[in-house]
Order: sequence, then structure tokens, then C-alpha cells
Amino acid sequence: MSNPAICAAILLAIAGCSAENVSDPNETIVPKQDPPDIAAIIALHQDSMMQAGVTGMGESRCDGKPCIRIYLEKADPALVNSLPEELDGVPVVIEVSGQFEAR
Amino acid sequence: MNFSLHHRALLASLFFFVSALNAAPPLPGTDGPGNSNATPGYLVKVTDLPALEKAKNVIDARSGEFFARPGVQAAGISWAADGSPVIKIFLDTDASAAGIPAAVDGIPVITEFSGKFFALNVSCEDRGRDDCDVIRAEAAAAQPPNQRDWHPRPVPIGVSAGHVDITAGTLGCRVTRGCHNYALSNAHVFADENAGVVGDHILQPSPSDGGVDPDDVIATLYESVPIVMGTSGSVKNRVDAAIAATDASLVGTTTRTNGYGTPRSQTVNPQVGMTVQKYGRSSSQTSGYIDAINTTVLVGYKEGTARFVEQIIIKSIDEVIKFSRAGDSGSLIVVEDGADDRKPVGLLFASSSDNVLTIANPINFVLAELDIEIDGE
Repeated sequence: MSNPAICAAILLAIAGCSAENVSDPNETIVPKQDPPDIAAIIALHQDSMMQAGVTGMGESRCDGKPCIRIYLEKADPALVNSLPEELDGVPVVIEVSGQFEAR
Repeated sequence: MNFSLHHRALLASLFFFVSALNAAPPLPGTDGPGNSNATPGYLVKVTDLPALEKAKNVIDARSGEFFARPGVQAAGISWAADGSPVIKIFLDTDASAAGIPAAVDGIPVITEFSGKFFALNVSCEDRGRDDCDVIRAEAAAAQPPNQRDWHPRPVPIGVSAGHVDITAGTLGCRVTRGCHNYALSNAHVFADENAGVVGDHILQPSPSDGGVDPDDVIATLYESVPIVMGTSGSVKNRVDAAIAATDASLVGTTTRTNGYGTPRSQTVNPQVGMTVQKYGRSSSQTSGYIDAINTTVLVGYKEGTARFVEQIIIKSIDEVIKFSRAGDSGSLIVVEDGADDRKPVGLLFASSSDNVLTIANPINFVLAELDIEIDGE
């Protein structure tokens, strides 16, 4: 057996041992979850959300977690009640902004 | 450098008119310093019109004689406290008053050490000074008291500037396209929303801050991204931006000394929670944080309401000092602190009516749309 072949065999053996040592057959495998693409969620829902009295909607963080802010011209209970509490699993937080103006 | 006799005579005539204006009797029915209790020497009542005429004739006839004396810079008519005319001779600071008569043809003569007079565009070196570098450094360090004021050229970024037909806005920063310099601000600041045309004058300060066309022009409108009015889903404005052609002698790259300084050339994308700062015409240097990105928002303009997408929303760090106020539109927003300190992130263009929320275009959209780069550090 040539030297490179010996090296390859040793490397394979080490790799095999390492893999055996770290894998736990009883471990529950949780598929890695990508953070929600909030920009895409906003793009998808903005036309239905941007109804009369809504001045904007954007990607934010609320209590340290991703959220969607929906901005209102004024505190209108009927409008607030008509808006969802979440969009595609992302919490919706409502904020009264008043009107936005170019300054 | 000395003035020719012709120049001296012009100065003498000018002085006569200025003195005459200062000495004009108060308008009937007006109060203030022109009334009968006027401080002597400020506004005085002309009491002896024949003597005034005589003094004018003396100046006309004998000005050559006055200017023949070394160090005489100007001669004109002034007034004694009792309203009687006197001849006033202005002398260079190193001249001697010796030999100047106490009176000429019965008109009293007084002297004043004024130094030389210069047209305002005569350079420091031509004035024979050997401390021009010091003078220039002091002038550069001495700033007008407010960012709304007229500033010596090249003007700092973040000061009042705007299209000749608007009220007031902010000069964001200097940018480059190829080897040319431009000033960057909002379309609604530099292009009067969509009304401006290429070549329109941009004034510093803005018209409502006293900017005068064409004396205060620092740039001319070069390109503006049209703002599409409308609120439907098909309206997708991303920037409110325009550039105006200028050069390095008119627009600088650094804020006033009480601001963050020079923006970096490299930009960053906005992130929620990012700490940012800006320098603007109305609220000067302020800090805030990005509270939302990818924001769809409706913004009111003179021409109507326009829908914007993928915008940045900024909140003030200080509850009392808002991040922006009306007139700050056009301010460049840069990162505050950390490895990305002073890297541009947005272009301020709108806010909620209570100024709690400020809206900005992501700067990378602005640079891509106008094919420009930040002229920074």
C-alpha cells in the first residue's frame, strides 16, 4: 500500500470515529428554521392592509422579536379591530402615527 | 496698492451720500432715534442748508488738495452735533493727521483713521497683508451662528438650501458622478417636487431663510427623480431625491463644527435597531434609531399624496428633542458610533405631523437611482 493510501485510510477512520462520537440516535432533529422574510410578507399583504386610515406598514422589532408595524392616521377602534393580530405568523403591532408629510 | 484719484473721488462721493442718508431728518410722525431727543452724532437735524451747500462745493473744488496729502483715503461731509456740516478726512492707519487744516473755507475739518478701503473682491494678498493664511483660517473657523444662515462658500453640508421656489430644506451632502460634483437633497427641496426644470437655481440659504436669487446660488438643478403621486398598489416610489450641479468651491463635504463631521463614502443598508444621526437645517445635530424598515408609507405633498415602498422609519432617542423637524428634508442620515460610524444609510424626506416618526429613503436606492457616489471620507 502506498503512503497516500495509508493517509487516506487513517483520515477515513478518524472521520468515522468523530461522527460516531457526536451523533446521538435518540436526539430529536429540529429542522433549522429561517427567520421569516418580513419584507416578502409586507409586499404580499400591503395592498389589503393599506386601507383608508392606514398610513403605513413596515418591518420592525417588538419586545426583541420581529414584528410588523401598521401605522394609523388616528386611533379608530373599528379600523383597529379590522386588522389582523398577525400576518403569516408574524405579530402585528399597531401604532398611531398621524399623517406623514414631506418636510 | 493705492487708489487712483478717480477711485478716491468715487469714494468721496459715496461717502457724501452715505453721510447724507445717515443725517437725513426723521420722517414726520415717526418715533425712535430720529426724534427730538436724538443722540448727537447719530441722527441730527440739518440746521444750516447754505453751509451744507458750501461744504459740498468745498469737497468738489478741493478734494484734489486733500488727496495730495499722504495717507488720505477719503474726504466727505459729516455733521457736528448741532447739525452743522463738517468735512471729514479718512486716513490710512499709519498716516499722520499733522498738517491737515482745522478748517477749510470756514468749514471745520475732522479726521478719522479708517485704514485703506478696498472693493470687496480684492484678494487678501493684493491688500498687501502678510498674514493671509491666518486670516483665512480664522474666517473658516468663524461660523455663522445658525445652520439657517448664509455660509461662506464652500458651504458645510446639512445647512439650509433649496430651490428658488420652495420655502426651506437641507443640503444633504456632496456627491459625485464620474468626475463631476453635485449637491444631493430631496426632489421636493431641489426640484420643487416635480415642478423644477434643469438649470433652476438652488440657493443657500433657502428662500425663506433669506436666500436671494441669483446672489446666493450654490448649484443648479441637474437631475430629479419624479415623484409619482397616488396611493394605489401600483405606485412604488422609492426615493425623493434630486442632484444639482455644483463644484468644490461652492459645496463642501463636512457639517458645521457642532455636527458629526464628514460622512464616509461607503454606505450601509438599514437595519432595525441601528443608531443613526443627521445634521439638518431645522434641528441641527440629532440622534435616533431605526424602528422599521421595508415600510410602505403614504406621504403628503403639495401636489398630492404619494405611496412609497421599502422606506426607513426612525424614532428619536430623546423624547423631547425630535429626530427631525420641518425644513430638515434632504438631510443625509448616517450611522452613529461603532465600526460603521458615519456611513450613510438614508436620505431624510418626511415625518409624522408630530415629528415622532421620521421617514427616510434607503441611501443605496438614492445612489443607484441617480448613479452617484457619496463624496466623503
